[in-house]
Amino acid sequence: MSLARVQAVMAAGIEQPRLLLRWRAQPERLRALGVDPAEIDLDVLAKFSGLGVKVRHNPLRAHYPLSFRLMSATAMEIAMFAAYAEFRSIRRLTWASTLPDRARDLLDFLDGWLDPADRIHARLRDALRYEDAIARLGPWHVATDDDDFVDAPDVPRLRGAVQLCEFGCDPRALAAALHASAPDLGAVPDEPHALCFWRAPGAEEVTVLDLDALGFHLLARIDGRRSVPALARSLGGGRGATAAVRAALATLAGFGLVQRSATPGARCA
Amino acid sequence: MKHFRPDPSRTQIGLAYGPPALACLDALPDALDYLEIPFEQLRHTPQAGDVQQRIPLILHCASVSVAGTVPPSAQTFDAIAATAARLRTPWIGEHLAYVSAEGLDDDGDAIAPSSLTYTVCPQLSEASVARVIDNYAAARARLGATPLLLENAPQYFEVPGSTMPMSAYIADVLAHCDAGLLLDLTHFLITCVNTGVDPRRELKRLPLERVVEVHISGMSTQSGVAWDDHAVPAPPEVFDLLRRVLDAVRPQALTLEYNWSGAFPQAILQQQLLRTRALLEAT
Repeated sequence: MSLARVQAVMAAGIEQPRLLLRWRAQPERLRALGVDPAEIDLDVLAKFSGLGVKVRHNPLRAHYPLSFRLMSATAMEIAMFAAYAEFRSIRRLTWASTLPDRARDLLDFLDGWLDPADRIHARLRDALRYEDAIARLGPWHVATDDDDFVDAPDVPRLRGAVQLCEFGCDPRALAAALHASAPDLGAVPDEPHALCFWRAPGAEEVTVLDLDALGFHLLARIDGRRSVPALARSLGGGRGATAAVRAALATLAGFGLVQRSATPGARCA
Repeated sequence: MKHFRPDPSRTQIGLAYGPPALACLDALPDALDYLEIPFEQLRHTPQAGDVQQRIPLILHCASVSVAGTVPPSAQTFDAIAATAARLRTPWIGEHLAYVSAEGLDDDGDAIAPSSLTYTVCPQLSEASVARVIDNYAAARARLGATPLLLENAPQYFEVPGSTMPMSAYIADVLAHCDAGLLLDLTHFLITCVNTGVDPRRELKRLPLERVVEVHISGMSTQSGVAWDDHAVPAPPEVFDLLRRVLDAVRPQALTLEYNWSGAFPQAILQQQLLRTRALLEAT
C-alpha cells in the first residue's frame, strides 16, 4: 500500500468522518483507493476525529469546567465528540468563529444526542445548561436596550437579564460531587430544580436563585406587557390567584428582580 | 527579551504555553525555567510572544508535517524560520507525524487535500523512514541554523502498511539524521498501551542518548483506546518511565503539557512540578 495513499485516506477520514461512513458501507471504494479494508480500523479513525474535535473545543473548558470534568470522569468525551464530528461532517458545517456560537452549536447538537433516560447523560445536560446560563449572562453577556413594555403601574417587569432553567438535579450538588477527586455521580439525587439566573442592571456577577413552581412560571410570563391580573389568569388562577401573584411579586421585588416602574429594564432571556 | 540557555549541569523545567502556565508564572515565577509555545499560536496571535519579556521561550511546531507526503508552503517554512530566529529558541520541536496529505478521487468524488489541526501517526515503514529523512533534510535547509527535534507521535491504531513498531521507527529515523529526540513519555505510553507492548521493554529500544527534551502530560482511556489528554495529570506510569529515562540520560529540558484547560487546577500543576523536580534531583 502506497505511503502517500494510505496517509491521504487516513487524513481524509479523520477530517471528514462522513467518508468513514461511506467506506464502511462500501469497502470496495477503499480497495479502489489502494487500501485494504481489512487493514484499516475505521471505527478508531472515527474516534480519532472525535479527539481532534474535542481539542478544537478546549477554549470552552474555562466556561464549562464542570461539564468537561463530568465528560472526562465518565470517559464519554471521545464518543461524544466523535458523534459530533460525524454530525457536522455529514451536514458539511463549518466551525463558528466565536466561543458563544461554538458553544451554542455544541449544545444544540447535544440536545438531540444526549439520552434523557441515561442518568449520566441527564447530569451532563444539567451541567451544560447550568454553566451555559452563567456564561451567557456573565462574560458573554451583551447588554441590550429593551423598551418593549407597557408603562403602567400594575404591569411588572424584570430588572436586568434573566434566564430560567429547569434541572433534573440541583446543579450545585452536582458541582460539589464533581469537585471530588473521584466523583460519585450516584450520590447526586434526582430532584427537579428550577433556577433563575439573574444579572441585575449594572452588575458583573450572575445571581442564582432557587424558585418554587409559582415563582418559575410567574417569572416566565413576565413580559413587561401583562398586568398582574393577566398574569394570574395566564397561570390558570381566578380572583384568588391574583393575591398570590401579588405576594409572589412582592417577594421577587424584594430581591430586586422585579419592578413595576417604567425605568428601562430587560425581559426574560 | 529572555532566552533559553542550555545548562549541562541540570535539566530545566517548563510548561506548555496556555492559561494554566501563565497563571503559574504569575504565582510562582521562580518555579519555571521556560515556556514552550506553539508556532501556530504565535502565527495566529503574535502578541502571545510578549511573555518572552518575562521568561524564555522554546518553539514547538506542528506545521512541518515531517512524516507527510505534502510539504508545507514556502511561506510556512519562512514564518517558522523567522519565528525561531526572533525567539532565539534553542531548537524547534516538531512532531514525527503528519498534518497534511494529498487529495483523493473517491470513485468520482474529488476529495480535497487534507490539512489537519492535529498531528497523525504516520505509516511505520521503511518508505516512511525514507520520506522523513528527505523531509527532515529539506526542513533543515529551510529553517536555518536552529536545530530540529523530532517528537514521537501517539499511536492510536495500526496504520495500514506498517512494518515495524514505533520504537524501531524512531530509532531508524534518528539513525539516518542528526535530529535530537523530543521524547513525549505520554505519547510513548499511549502507543505501548494501544499496541499491546511492554513500555519498559520498548523504552530500552529507543536511542535515549539522543533525548534533548522530554514531554509529560495526561492520558485518558476512553472507548477502548488510550488517548493523549493535556487536561488531566500524568499517570504514575509516566513518572516511572521518566525515572528510567533519567537513569540513562540527562535531557536539557522537561516540559509539562497541561495546556488544554484553562480550568486545570493550579494546585495539581504545582504538585506535578514538585514531583518532577524531586525526581530530577533524586536521579
